[in-house]
Amino acid sequence: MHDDVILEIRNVSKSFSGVQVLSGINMRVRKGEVHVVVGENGAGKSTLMKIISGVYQKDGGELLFEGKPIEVKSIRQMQEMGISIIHQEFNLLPNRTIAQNIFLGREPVKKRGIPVIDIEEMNAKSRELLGFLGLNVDPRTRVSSLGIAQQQMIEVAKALSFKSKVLIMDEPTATLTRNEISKLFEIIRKLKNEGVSIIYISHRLEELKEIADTISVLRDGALVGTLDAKEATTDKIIKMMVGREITNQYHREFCTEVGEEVLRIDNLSSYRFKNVSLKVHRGEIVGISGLVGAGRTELIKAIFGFDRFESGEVVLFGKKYRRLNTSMTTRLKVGLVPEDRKDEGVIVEMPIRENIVHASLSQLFKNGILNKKTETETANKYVKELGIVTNSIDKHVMYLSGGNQQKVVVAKWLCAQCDLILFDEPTRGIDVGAREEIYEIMNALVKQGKAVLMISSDMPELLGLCDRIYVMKDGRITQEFSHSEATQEKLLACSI
Amino acid sequence: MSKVSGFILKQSKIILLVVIVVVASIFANNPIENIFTVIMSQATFMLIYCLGMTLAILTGGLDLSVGSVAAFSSYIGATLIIEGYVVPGIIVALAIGAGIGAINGLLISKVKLSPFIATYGMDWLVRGLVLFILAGKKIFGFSPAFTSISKGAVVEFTSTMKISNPFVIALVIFLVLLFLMRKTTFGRNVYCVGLNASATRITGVNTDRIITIIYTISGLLAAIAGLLYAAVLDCAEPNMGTHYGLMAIAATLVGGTAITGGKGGVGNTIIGVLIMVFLTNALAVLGVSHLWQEAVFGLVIIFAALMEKARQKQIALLQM
Amino acid sequence: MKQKKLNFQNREKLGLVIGIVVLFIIMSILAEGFFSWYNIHNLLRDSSILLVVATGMTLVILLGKIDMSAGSVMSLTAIVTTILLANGAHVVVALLAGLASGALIGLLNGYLVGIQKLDHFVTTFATMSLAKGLALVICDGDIINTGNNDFKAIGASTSVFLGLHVHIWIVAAIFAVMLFVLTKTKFGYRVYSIGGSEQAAMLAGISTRGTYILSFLISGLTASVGGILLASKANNGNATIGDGFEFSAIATVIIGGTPFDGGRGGLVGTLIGAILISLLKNGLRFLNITPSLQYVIIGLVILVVIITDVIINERRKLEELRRVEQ
Repeated sequence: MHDDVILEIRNVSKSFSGVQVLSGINMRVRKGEVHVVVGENGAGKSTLMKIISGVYQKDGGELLFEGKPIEVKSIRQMQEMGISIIHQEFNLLPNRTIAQNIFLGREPVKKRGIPVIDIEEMNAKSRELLGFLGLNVDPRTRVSSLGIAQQQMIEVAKALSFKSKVLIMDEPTATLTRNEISKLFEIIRKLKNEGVSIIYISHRLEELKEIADTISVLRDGALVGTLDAKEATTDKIIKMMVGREITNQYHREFCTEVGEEVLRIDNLSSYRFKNVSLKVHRGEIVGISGLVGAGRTELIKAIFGFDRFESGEVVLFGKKYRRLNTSMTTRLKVGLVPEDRKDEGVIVEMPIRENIVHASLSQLFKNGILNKKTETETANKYVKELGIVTNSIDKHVMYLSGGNQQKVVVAKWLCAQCDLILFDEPTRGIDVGAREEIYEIMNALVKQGKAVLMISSDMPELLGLCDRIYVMKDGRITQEFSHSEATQEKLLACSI
Repeated sequence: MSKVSGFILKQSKIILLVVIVVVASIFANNPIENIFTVIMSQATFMLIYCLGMTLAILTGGLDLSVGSVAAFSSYIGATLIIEGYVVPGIIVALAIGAGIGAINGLLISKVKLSPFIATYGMDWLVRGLVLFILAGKKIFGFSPAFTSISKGAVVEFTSTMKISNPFVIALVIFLVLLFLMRKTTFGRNVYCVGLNASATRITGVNTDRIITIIYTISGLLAAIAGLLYAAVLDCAEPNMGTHYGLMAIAATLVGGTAITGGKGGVGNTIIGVLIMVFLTNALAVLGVSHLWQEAVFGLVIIFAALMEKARQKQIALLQM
Repeated sequence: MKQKKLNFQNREKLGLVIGIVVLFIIMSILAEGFFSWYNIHNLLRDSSILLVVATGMTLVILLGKIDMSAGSVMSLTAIVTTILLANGAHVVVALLAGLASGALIGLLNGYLVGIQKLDHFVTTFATMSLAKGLALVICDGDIINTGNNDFKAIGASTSVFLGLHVHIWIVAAIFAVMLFVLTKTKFGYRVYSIGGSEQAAMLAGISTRGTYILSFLISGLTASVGGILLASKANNGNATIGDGFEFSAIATVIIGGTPFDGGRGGLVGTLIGAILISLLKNGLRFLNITPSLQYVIIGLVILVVIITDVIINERRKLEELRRVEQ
């Protein structure tokens, strides 16, 4: 064993509801190094970090801290041991001061046993930490008046106040400007000098050159390899991140003749995306690629009328719209299979049968009166057609597996005879078998002359299915590829 | 949990009701007459405004204004009825009830006020209007044309045992709502809004409209209840209905409708109402002072809420 | 970077204070005798009762919950205290018993909401009727005359110390203690933290149950004190004494800048809110507006303020979202 290895991950694995998310991960983090972990969306990076920091429990394997095996019981325990994590979404209380946030739950008291807080000491200690980080702010400032970069610094200060030896940062630069990133890297270098190890999750390969000592690449829940940063090139890394065979599970016969335009958006803008224009035609599967946070979900929700957009127009089936709501879009036979299956895609506390017909109530029951027979027949039809595995259509959707739940969502829109279906991460968290079935469904749809617009972080999926792929980055479309031009490397390069 | 205790938990309300009715009947002078009276003179009136509350709760909300709306609408209506304009008076009352309900619905769906705030505030506002603008005087001495609505009966077995008009009205309203909630697409969507409003909206349903309609119905029902009370008491007073909100919540929860929405329904509320009225009756028959009513109602709500939580836990356990 | 003194919250409070001053000036001009020490003193004395109940309520609202039972606890306490006094009990015993009754209701609320995790509105609505019901039963629907001079002394208008009425002193003391607790002790910090984000608080290892129980307990106690003070004014016990008071208390807290979802605001705002509402009530009375119209006006004002508060908050949330994303 290297005696300067501060954290060792041995053969760690984890699965959620039967889906294997991490398998046999082996990693070593040395003292005072910046160890970057890269991988596509869904590769398992966040899960691994959450296991190390105490948010999740691992299923198998060992963690060794400073050479000794440790049992992770709680987040607090890990913090006190010296391992802290800064999540992508900060856990700060906006209406409390910097000092109050840093010392949340462990405020220093004036006298032992009497719970009166020593505010001066709290502020003084905070000032020290802020000073170390080069942040010239009064610790009595409310966090809500700080910018994102500064708030991130507060999270760093929090971790430092625990005298952390290992600091995990999850996508720290996702929302920072170039200047702020430079400042962050300065701090990271400072921490390195103090002997603190940093585990850094990121997509942004150009940045890694500046800061990384070691790079570990995850793919589909397994460790592909660990490189010394000096030897790593962007190409090498991308190849490792992405290198699977594109199997023919997509069964796609690409569209040779495109039908009429069903959707066109012109310079659509909202606070999360700017000047987006794209089109979708009958017979096409169009994909939107990009990193998490690029604004894809917000875009698709705006197109569907679930969220507002500020400017631009949406042209559906030839008609222009400056404002949309879901009643309008569904009437126009557009459907949305959202990213958040359980909270938005389907009503989990309702039976399968009711969910399937929910978007077709006025079509199936013309006089507004429900008819059990019609409902049963319709539901059974789609259960059969989509291969939904259940012994009864009266079962509440929450008892179904992820894949089957997703099929119920799709069934709902098929039942409504949609001409255009929008998908947001259609196969996330779904087993391979169900995935293939969903691809078949999409194929069948567009063969019938309907259209599909899908967001996906699974690049092989995009490449295997889509006639055209748009790439989004920071709220804008950076590129459009036809399926013959697109490669995984190109897609990734445009999203970063 | 064993099958038996599971069954008991499920049917607990009916068992509770039967126990209460039996207790009341044992100690009453004339059990059958007692049952008739309780149902005709108390349950029927209460059911009407409780149904409104149930609808609001089904959407995940609450309507605390039922009491003052009942008072206000019936009072305004009464000012016309007393002059002999019976039908116009009734129509005006119903319009006012529906109107206030609609405002509640809009405040909740469009302005996005929490239902508690919107309806509680409305309750105070309307109550203030009644007491102040109408100078709080009682109106009484209606014509038989009006009072017979409540005092009349469809079938009379004896002078005290009859199927009264209000009973029929309440029954019709109940059946209409039952049909609406269970058998129509509108009713289906009401439940969906209560279970998950976002998912329902994604499915293309106009959730704002559904919420507004529900609160309008609630206001309308409050007005009906107010009118019926005014007719049977032969008096419209501005202080009517101060307890309706509380009783309606109690009856709805006790009947098994979840406060979070989406579960239960008008059928449950009938049981809840019967439990409440017979509980009051049993207390009276046992010689317990009527002053205990409020305290008992409070305990009953707590008990019902705890049982509902226990039931939820059991369901969750069964999943594992 | 210097902290901006006039951030959003301070702006709100400044607005309220200006409102109070303006209102005061208007009333003084319109009404004869408004601008007199006698009237101002009355104003302070009346607002003290509202303030003490709102003090406990502030804690509960900071947690993002609500205590609908406050008014009924006032009534229950008044009845318990006065009935013991009427039966010859010593004043201290009666007062302690009254406080105990409020404490019990508060603990019940805390238990049901904090441990059983029942909905806070339904729970306190139920305890509201439970407390009121108990009050009615104990007093048998009658008004209770205490016949106790010590108790009378608490409330008598002549009971003045250093120019200020006894009520004002009592409430000022309670307010000062709670202000200290809320701003300078671990418990107070926990209240703000849990109210700000229960998730962040739990991640930081804070136990929420104890905080909920203690907060509802305090709310029950301050409501008790309010009931005692109110009863002492008339020197009798009346089960309707607290009817609807929770509404005023809640409004006081909200107007003072502590929003329904909690996490920010505090007692200073509540103090300002209490003065504002009392000023309004007092002023309307002075202008000889009938009680029922007062009802309507105050109800309207409160509704408008709450609606405005909600709209401002929604806008603020949207702006924050915008800022974050940029």
